[in-house]
Amino acid sequence: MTSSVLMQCRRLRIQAGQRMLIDALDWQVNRGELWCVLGPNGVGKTTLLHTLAGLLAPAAGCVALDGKPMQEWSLAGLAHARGLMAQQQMDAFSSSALETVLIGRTPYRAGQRAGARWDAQEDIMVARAALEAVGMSDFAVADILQLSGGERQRVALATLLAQAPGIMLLDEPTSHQDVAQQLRMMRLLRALSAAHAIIVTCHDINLAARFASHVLLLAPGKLWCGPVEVVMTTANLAQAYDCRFDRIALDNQQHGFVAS
Amino acid sequence: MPRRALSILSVLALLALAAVSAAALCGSSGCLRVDDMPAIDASVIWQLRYPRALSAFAVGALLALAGALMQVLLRNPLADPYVLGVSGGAAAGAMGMLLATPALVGAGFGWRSEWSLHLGALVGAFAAIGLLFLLARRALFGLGPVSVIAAGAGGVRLILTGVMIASGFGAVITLLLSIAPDNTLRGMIFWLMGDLENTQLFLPALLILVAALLWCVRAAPLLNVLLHGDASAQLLGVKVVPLRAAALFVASLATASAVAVAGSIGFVGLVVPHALRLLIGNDQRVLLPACALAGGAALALADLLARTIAAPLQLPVGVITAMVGVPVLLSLLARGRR
Repeated sequence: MTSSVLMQCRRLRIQAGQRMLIDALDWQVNRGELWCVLGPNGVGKTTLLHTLAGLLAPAAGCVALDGKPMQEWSLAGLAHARGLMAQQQMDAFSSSALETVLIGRTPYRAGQRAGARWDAQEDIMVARAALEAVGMSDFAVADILQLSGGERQRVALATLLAQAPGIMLLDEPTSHQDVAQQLRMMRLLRALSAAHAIIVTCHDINLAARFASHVLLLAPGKLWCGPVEVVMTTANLAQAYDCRFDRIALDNQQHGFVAS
Repeated sequence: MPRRALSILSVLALLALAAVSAAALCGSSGCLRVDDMPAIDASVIWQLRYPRALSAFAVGALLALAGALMQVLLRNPLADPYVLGVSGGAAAGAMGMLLATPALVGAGFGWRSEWSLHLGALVGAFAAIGLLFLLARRALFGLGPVSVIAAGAGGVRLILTGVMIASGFGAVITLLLSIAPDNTLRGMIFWLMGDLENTQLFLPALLILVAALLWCVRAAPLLNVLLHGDASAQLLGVKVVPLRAAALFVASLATASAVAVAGSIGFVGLVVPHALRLLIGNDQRVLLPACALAGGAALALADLLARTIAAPLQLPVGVITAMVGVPVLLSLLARGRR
């Protein structure tokens, strides 16, 4: 752990074809922070995550991970530095949940020589612990094609946990989860943010308000970036989503938002 | 190697050994035990049946291996080695050379007519592979936008290109068949159905099988990652583009060699990997060698049937693989999408 700055964007511009999504984003994410990326549909949340993951090149500006510009990283090094849980899992073949989670251990296999072809006992233990952490340990031998959408999504989270990269990028990880599982997942992410930097896109403003330490709020042609209590004001939300927001006080010193 | 993988592969190895032995020892004249065999029958075994059993094994193994690789590559459990047009190219090349043979022999520079089929098939297969790599280079050598990677549209473009190449060669084959003189037509049709008559090529086929298998064993852990999608593999540090190109090349080479030896034998490359995946799972480290063993055993047995079932008449082995393969595949499909 050399520095606490895990990810830095300088003048980042992101386009989808000719359409400008995000322009001149200066952003810094540190270890110990849980960032929620909020914004209306099509504003560029997923494209931003894919750019941070190095799957897409930015239209302008640069991304640095661990102080090193993206283009100087090797593919194998990146696999330790960042991981992405995609919005959807495209499964073409049957596979057990445990096998699927073990795929996340791939970066730790490179460089090993003899015996690297078969799964090390240590990797299997890490994978089982990851399934346990997302509440899926009873499904270790279940076929991923037979799982429900929410269960499959939690297996994908377990795969990311097994990969254990410094920066975890999650694209709508709570979208298929019931209310209890959403809370459980956000608590898990908050616990993880002690040792990792976490960037999550989501559509649930109240989950963000409750669990995020920082928020990047995107709107067409405008963005807000900073600590949750600074960014998440009714005025900013109203401007970003183009509808009215009311802030309601909850017991236990917290608050939520209601859109109308 | 875990005990489960070891036992699966040992059982299949024994099965393959039994199948090849049966194919070598049995024929239209019945099955023979080695100890009470007259010398004449021993020579039949060593000169005819054992090379034929080994070519059947090599061709079946190459086809099953190529099919398994294509299924990973196209992320489609029902892809087969011929889907990208390699066999179409091979067949067109072989038919063209068959037609040109009388002229080549007549030209008097020592051309031997038995080379024609295999050489034509090999040239045609490589023409098809070259065409595929050229036309689908963007789908093959670029990762493309992530939305495209995620949806597997690169694979769709590859499949469509391959299907178009196959259709083009299909038209060429029909054209060649329609202009062929009657005395070569029967041989051409026999070869199109798959034919193990010429057994002289079992050694090169076995060598290519060993080379392809070695590559598969080395690449299997990475192919396991590729199964979960190009983007996932890239994120986990796998160099997707070279891996995909190498897999396509190995699968094409295996298909080309199999087709050059024995014509377009159907169903082995589709049914064997598909059925094995249902039986033993989709871990490529076990599945790929298992496909080679089971595919080889299946074709050795199919060829034994083709030689004996209507003796003294010999059926094209492709008829047997289709007659067994179609009901097997239909019953697998009836079990639901896996």
